[in-house]
Formats: sequence, C-alpha cells, structure tokens
Amino acid sequence: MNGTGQPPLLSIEDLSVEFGTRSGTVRALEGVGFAIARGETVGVVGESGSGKSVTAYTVMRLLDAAARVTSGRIVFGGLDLLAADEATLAEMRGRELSMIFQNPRASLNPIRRVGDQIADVLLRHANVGAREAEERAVALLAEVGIPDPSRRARAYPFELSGGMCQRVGIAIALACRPALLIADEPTTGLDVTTQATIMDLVAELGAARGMATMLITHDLGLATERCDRVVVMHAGHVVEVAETGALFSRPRHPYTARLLAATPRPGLSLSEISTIPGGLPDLRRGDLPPCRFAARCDRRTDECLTLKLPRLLEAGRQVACRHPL
Amino acid sequence: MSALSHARHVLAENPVTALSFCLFALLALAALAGPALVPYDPLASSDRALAPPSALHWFGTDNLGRDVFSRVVVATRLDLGMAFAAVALVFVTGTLAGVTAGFLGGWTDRVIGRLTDTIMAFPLFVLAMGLVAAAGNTVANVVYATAIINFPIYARVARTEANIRRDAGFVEAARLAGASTATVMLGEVLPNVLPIMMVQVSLTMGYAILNTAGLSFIGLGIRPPTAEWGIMVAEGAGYIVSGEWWIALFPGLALMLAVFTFNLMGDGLRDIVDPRRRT
Amino acid sequence: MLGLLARRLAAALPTLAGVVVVTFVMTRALPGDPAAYFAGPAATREAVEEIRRQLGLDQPLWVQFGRYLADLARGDLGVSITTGQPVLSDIAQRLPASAELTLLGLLIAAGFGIPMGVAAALRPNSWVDHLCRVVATAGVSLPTFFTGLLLVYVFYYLLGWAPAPLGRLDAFSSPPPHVTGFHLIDSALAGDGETFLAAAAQLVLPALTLGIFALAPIARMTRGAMLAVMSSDFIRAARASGLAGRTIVIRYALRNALLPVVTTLGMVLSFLLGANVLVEKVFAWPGIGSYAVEALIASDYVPVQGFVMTMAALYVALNLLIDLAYQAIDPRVRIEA
Repeated sequence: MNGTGQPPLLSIEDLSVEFGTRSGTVRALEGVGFAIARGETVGVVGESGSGKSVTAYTVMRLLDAAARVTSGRIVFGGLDLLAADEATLAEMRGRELSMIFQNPRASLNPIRRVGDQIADVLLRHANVGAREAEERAVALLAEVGIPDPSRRARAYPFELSGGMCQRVGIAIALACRPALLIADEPTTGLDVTTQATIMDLVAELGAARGMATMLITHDLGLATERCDRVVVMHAGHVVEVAETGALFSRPRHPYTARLLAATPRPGLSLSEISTIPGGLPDLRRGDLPPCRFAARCDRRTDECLTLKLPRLLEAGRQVACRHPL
Repeated sequence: MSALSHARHVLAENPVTALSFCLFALLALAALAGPALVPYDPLASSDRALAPPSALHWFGTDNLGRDVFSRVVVATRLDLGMAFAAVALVFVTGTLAGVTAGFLGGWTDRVIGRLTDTIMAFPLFVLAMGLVAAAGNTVANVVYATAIINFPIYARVARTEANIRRDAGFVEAARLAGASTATVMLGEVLPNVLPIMMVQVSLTMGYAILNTAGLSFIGLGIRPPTAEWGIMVAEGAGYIVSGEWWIALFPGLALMLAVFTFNLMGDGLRDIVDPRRRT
Repeated sequence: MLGLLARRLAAALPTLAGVVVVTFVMTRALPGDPAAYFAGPAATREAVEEIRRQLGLDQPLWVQFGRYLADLARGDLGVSITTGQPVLSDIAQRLPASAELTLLGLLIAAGFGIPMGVAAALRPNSWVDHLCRVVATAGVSLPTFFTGLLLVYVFYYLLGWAPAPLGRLDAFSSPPPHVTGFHLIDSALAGDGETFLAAAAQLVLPALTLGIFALAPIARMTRGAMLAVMSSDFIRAARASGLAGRTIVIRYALRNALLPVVTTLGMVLSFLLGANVLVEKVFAWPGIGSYAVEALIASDYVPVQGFVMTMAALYVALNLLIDLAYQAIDPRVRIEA
C-alpha cells in the first residue's frame, strides 16, 4: 500500500459488519478495506451514517452486542484483532491503540478527578505504583498543554472547559504511548479556535512519538489539512483512498468530487457550493445495489446496478467505481 | 394503527400481560359473582374447626369451623372494592389537582406542591394509621386514608403531564379560538393526560390493596366476623406456630395474586400507552 | 460542608413544621370528640370532662396549638393510659428495638439488592436478569405480614431452624448491659457471645422479612441505573483505555449508578418504616410499631399520636442524612452548591 516496503501498522481487509435491529438487519459496512502505516495520519471522511465510526469501533472491538462481523480481517501489528480474545484486546486497548471521542466531557467519568482517570490507565498498563502514576499523570497534563497541571489534576470534568476535557482525553489516550490513535470527530463539539489548537496538539504529539493517527471526520477540509492520506466512505463502502494532495487535485470517484465541491473553502461564496442530491440509501434493504452511490450518481449505467463493485488499484490509490473520473 | 389493534399487538408480544388481564377477569368474577357461587356461608361456623384442606373444604376451615375457601372468595369483593373506592377517589382528586397545578402554575402550583410535600413527609403507612386512628376506626376512613396517602403520586404525575402539554399546539389553538382557561384545561389537557393516569391507577391498585389489608391486619377498618383477607391473615397468624397453615396462607395468597395481577397489568398498560417508559 | 448542612437543615424546617401542623390537626380538627379519644373508652362522662379541662380542649384552636407547640418543645408527648408512662419515655425505651430491626432489614435489602441489580444489568436476559425481575415484581406484590408468617411457618414450624417468634430474646437469655439498646452491639461490647447469638437468632426472620420487602425496589433501581450507565459514553471510553472489567464496573459504573439508587432510598425508607409496624406485630417485637398497635387496640390515642410524630420526625431526619450522603458521593452537587 505504501512505498516503504514495511508492512502496514493497521490493515483492514474486506470488513463487513451488520447490526440486528427491530426493523431489520442494517448492513453497516461492506467490504471495507484500507491500511495505515506507522507514523502516518490517515483521514476517514464521509457523511453521517457512512460507517466511519462503526469502522473505528470495529477496530477497537467495542461494538455493542447487536453487531456482527460477517467477514474480513483486521490486522494490527501482526495480530488479527477479530480473532483475538477479550483478554488480549484489553491489553492492547489504551496501550498499543487508543481512542479519543467526539464529546470530550461525556467521555470522562463525571465523578472522578481527571488526574485519577489518567492514573487509572497508567496503573493498568504501565506497571507503576500509585505514587508514580499520580506524578506521571500530572506530567502528562503538562504535556497536553494544561496550565497549572498539579492543581488541575484534582479537578472534576465539569470544572473544565470542553477543550480542556479533550486535552485530558488526549492525555489518557497517549499515556502509554500507543502506536495508533483513533480520533473520532475529536473537534466537532469544540469552537473553531479550540479545534485548531487541539489538532495541532495531536499532530505535534503524534510526530514526536512516531504515532499513527486515524482521524475520523465529516469535515473534508479538516482531513485534507491534517492528513497524509484520505479514505472516503459512503454508505458503508470505501469509495476512494488516496494521498491528500492527489485526492484534492484529482478526485477519481464521483462521490469524492461531489464532496469536494460541497466543501466550503475560502474564496468560495455560498452559492458556489453545491450539494449532493439524494440521501444515503436505507441500509436495511436486502436489495441494495453493488454500488451504493449509484442512485445518486449521474455517471451510473445499468452495470453499476447489477455487476459487482470493482476495486481499482493504481499507484497508491484505490477507487471503487466502474466509471471513475 | 388503531388503539385496539396496537393493544392487541402488544398483548400478543407480551403473553405475561395477556395473562394478567385473564387473572383480572378471574378476580372480577370472584368479586361480582363470588358470594352467589361459594359452597358455604362465609359467616356460618360449624363444629369442624381447624380442619385441613380436603375435598369437602378446599381451603380447610378456621378456628370457628368456617369454610376458608368461601371466605377468601367472598372477601374479594370487599378488598377489591375498598381499594377501588380509594383509587377512584384519589384518581379524580389527584388528577384534577395535578392538572390544575401543572397548567396554571404559580400560586396554585405552590400550594398543591406544599400539600403533597407535607403528605410525603410522613412514612405513608404510618400516616394512614394516624389518620384512621384520629378520624375513627371505620371502613370509610380507611378508604379516605388510603386515598390521601396516594394523593401525592397522582398529583405529581398529572402535574408533569399537564406541564408538558401546557404549551402544546392544540392547547394554543384552543386558547386562540377564545376558549376559557377552564375549558382548555378540562377539554384539551385533561383528555390527553387520562391514558397515563389510567396506567397509574392500575399500578396503585396493588398498593391500595396492600394498604387496606395491612391496616386491617393491625385492627383498623374491617372488624371480625366479616371476611376480609387482611383480618383473615391476622386471625390465622396465631395458628401458624401450631401448624395450621391454611387459615392464613390462602387469604395471603389471594392478596398476593390480586396485587401481582394489578402490577403486571399496570406494566402492560404502560407499555401500551407509553413504550418509552419500559424498564 | 457545614454551610451546606446548615442550608439543608433550614430547608427541612418547613417540612417539620408541616408535620407538626398535620399531627395537631389529626387529633383536634377531625370529626369526633377529642376529649373522648384522650380519655379512653372506659372513661365516664365526668372523666371525659376532666380530661377536656386538663388538656385545654375547651380552649380555642389557636390556643390549643400554642400549648401543643409548648409541650413539644418540652418533649411532652402526653401520657399513655395503658402504660401510665409519659409517651416520650415509652418511645425512647422501645425505639432501639425498632431501629435495630429496620437497620438490619435495610442492610439485607441493600446487601442483596445492589449486587443482584448489578449482575442483572451486566448479563441482560440471562437467568440472573430474569430472577432479578421476578424478585422485583414479587417483592412489591407480597404483603409484608404474609412474608413474615410464611417464613415463620417454614423456618420455625417445619424446619425448626429459627427460634419461636416471641420477641428480641428467647426465654433463657437476658438482655446485655444497656449501651446503645441494640442487643447485637451491646452484647458484642460486653463480650457476651451467647447473648449475641440468641439476639441474632431472634433477629434473622423479622429482618429477613423486612429485607425481602425492601429488596425489590433497590434491585430494580440498581438494575435500571446500571443499564443506563453501562451504555454511556464514558464507560465506552474507559473500555477503550483497556481498563479491567472490575475497575469499570465498580469504580466507574457502579459509583455513578449508586446516585439514583441513593435517591430511591428515601422512598424505600418510607415503605420500611411502615412495614416495620406489621413485622413487629407478626414477630411480637417490642418496638414502637407494636407499641402503637397495642395502643390502637386499647383505644389509647395519645401514644398513637406520639408514634406518628416520632416516625415522621425520624423520617425527615433520615431523608436529610440521605441527602447529605448523596452530596458526599456526587461532587457536582457539592461544589456547585
């Protein structure tokens, strides 16, 4: 997948996930596949409901009971995560791979001091005593840019702003120096200035530790700014994977092109931003066409609706389209 | 989906609720037709005292030779009747008070709130004891006391519901059409609040039955020789230690059955009316 | 913290005032002749008039209320006709028996109910979950006095494991030297193992009866709260950090779930204090519940009034404690207050 010849850190292959619900089976992911190399920042973008978060939770094996993985492999550092048992997974989570979430305050224990929450992770994975965990927690708070860390460590989440809560979340996630950080819409709930500083922090810490990042976002602009490569998802499919520059300048999937055209950019007036007609297909239907974008696509032909979705590979890009641009 | 077909759908999904409706029918039958159908006169003593259950006396006889089965069945009318009277009373007063408080707000709300808070400051059964003791040991007073101690919960639920609906579209429309406050409250808000209050009725029927039985167990309300589940258990209590279990057991089981039925029915009704509130 | 305590106490005052007013109204303003009540059923007409004068029942209501308040302030709850003692001293003497029983019942209820609720929440639709739900529904359907009698029948009559339900101690034991009035504590303090066991044996069935009764709402509330908490964002985040199952369930989930459970305790206590009266009658327990019932049967109304007053005051105080406990657990209330 990349040019260094090293095996990727995370490799998702042909992943399909369904959810059993009262109103039917939702085929949330189908044939999802992409890879992340060590130290790389990969963005996963798509509309709400495209399956970005489901992919992330599947990697972490944190889906709820109604979910079923029906096919695929997820290989992380040589380990098949789908085949691993819960004990092994619990070892990996927080230590080799971590996650930060969309609503930072809701992701912290409301009645526990933040310093203690960081210490909990250290006590679990880092084989240190209580004293040392406490001290390291304070140091971590300083690393993520929280002023007066020793006092702040005694604070409760409700006493901190959203941005500070996310910094705490980052401190928890990075406490044991994981190889991969999954960031699920980490800045969506924050104001614009804070968004920038949080993303800077993640980038800085990531670079310093050679950590890979999977950045999940619906904001294509953010992804192109911060990521080395971008994975575009639509209705549970990966439609395109490419290096950021190439994706931006030369999108090959019709959906990607539409998405770019719909993304506000400085210089564009509101009237120049287009929309994408139609909406996401109902993933409960048993008769979904092989290409789930076909219904909204102006390049579709009959083959798109009947023949299996092709996955074209070329020079570091993936496109899932019969008639790419 | 009409209300009836929706109800049928829920019942089909939930056999336990359907069972509770059947049990309720059985209890209603016992209450209404019981005295006419029982084999013995519930008040008639005989010389076959303390006889264990047999083909002749299905539930045995008590210390005065009275047939326990007949007494248990006949008592259904009294126990259910008292509880029903109490609940009907509190349903009307509590709903009205709560709707008024929730709809009008302000001063009315505060006064009614203070009233419910004062009632809830007491352990409820203790308050019932005190009220009956003070007002006089009669059946009517037991009914009133049971109604009073259930008042807070009805008033609160009705108030919340009225509050939610106070600013609803259809209420605004009625107001704009020139209807008076009273008309809007009684004509628009009240009918919408009623389904939820009906659920509350079923849930508190069980509690009311336990309450009246508890009060008669300690000697308040019904007096011997009347057949009532609570005093029957009290009368049978003394014989437990000597092994004559049937005198207290059967009325106790009847109590359990009745309360259980109403609790299940209440849960089922709640699922029909407002499935969001399932536990 | 002290400021908070003072504020909460101040908030409880209107409730106490309401209690005082209601208990006054209950005996003076309700139908019937209060003097006849207080004089008792065996009183002659002259005795009733004498009582009327003595208690000032011929005075206008507001004067009577003033006397009532003054008496309360002095701790004068009247005199019982049946025992001949001041009601307050009767109650003070019998209170420890009820307190020991109720406390033990609550401990049993929480001790079984909370773990049951947690287990049910962690394994939805398993046998534990179904058991929990059956227990919760059955528990609120069972009349307490019936449960008590059933237990007596099975464990005393049939199995002979429990002693006769004849009060706090059997015929052969004598009470330990009085320190708290709680037989378990007092005998432990005196190092008297035999009395301790005798007292414990008598306590088992009545405490179990109360415990079963209170178990239902506690288990149900714990299950509901745990289910809600376990599906919350911060639990998912904690799992994403790889924290051990036990840490997540106990330190993260349960502590948060206990908050609504603590608020339910107020309602549970209301039921328990009421059920206490019934259990004391079944087990011939010499507490304030049976005191009131005996007085009722003898148409001796002053003790009943005192009993209602005491129970209400106790209930207000306990609710205050629960409120404070909640504040101690939830820092959000504590700090923002």
